[in-house]
Amino acid sequence: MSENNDVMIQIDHVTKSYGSTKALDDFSLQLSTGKIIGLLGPNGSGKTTLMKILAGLIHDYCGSVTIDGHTIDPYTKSIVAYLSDEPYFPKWMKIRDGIRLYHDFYTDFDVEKCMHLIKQMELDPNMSIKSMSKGMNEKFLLALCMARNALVYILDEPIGGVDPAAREEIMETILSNYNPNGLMVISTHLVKDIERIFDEVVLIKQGSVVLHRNAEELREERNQSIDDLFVEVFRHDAFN
Amino acid sequence: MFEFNKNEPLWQQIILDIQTKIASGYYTTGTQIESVRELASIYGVNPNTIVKSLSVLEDKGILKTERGIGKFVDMDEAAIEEMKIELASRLIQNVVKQCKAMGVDQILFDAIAKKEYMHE
Repeated sequence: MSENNDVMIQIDHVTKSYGSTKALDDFSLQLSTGKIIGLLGPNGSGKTTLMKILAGLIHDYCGSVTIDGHTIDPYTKSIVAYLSDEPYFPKWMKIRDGIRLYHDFYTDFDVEKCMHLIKQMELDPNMSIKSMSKGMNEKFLLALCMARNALVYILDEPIGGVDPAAREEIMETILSNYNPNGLMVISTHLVKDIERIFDEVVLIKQGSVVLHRNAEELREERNQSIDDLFVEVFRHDAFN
Repeated sequence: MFEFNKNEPLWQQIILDIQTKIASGYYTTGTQIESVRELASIYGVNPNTIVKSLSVLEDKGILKTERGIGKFVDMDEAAIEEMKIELASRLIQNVVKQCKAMGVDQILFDAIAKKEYMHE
């Protein structure tokens, strides 16, 4: 595997406001192919807004965003698989209904792979959404997302609501389905549990990038884990 | 999943673990080690981290690549023995330093080391 520095995502001077609050404030970032990126920041730092822009769900922003050389359009939507941090299926649905929906909706969706992941995560296609715990729902949504043969995966808090044992399972799933020719962006505020899978970390605070570095270089330079660094950078915010 | 010491680069810890596996005989001379993807899954890390560890091990002459097949342990028994001694020495150096600092002489050190070795 060689180092590949092709730019996959290019974000230049993006600002997105909700009323008088700026969720993203002159935000710029360049991400290259073949990496797993940790997007780290406390709640309300702009992670979800950024990911929704990349997924093509928010359009009214200023600045420029391109993925694989295209501004956000049907092409970018076709190569981006997005895992939302909020459930989006109606409660009456069963797992198999969700799978059917994805199958109809995405041409790159691999039903067999999805069934395999569902089984691996000890879920059952006949389970209904309303009978499932938060953790089970998250695993289900991850299976749907990872079963797409996408180039870019955008995962918003994939381990947010699950217990530590399930976190390992989710990390396994992410690692074994990672496409080395693509790009994976994972947001989290639970840095400790997942930092070992990141190539690069992007720390964001109040809508701007504080730091964008190679994770191993940071550990080597500072003799501390990314989690310790995260706590150091954001400690003051926690008490505000 | 593999337990990392959180303050050290992961690639260095993986190198040490693979070296330890060779020293202990888990991997023997000529053994093919797992693929990058499998190792990434075993250690629960990014494949690029594994690539880095393996390339350092290759530079050190510990592994070699057979094109299109995979990576193999490229050390004979004598070299493995030498590496074992080097790894163990590195571990003991710190302990010796600390013991010396608290006035443990060589005879006492040997006695303690022997007792702990039997106990373990």
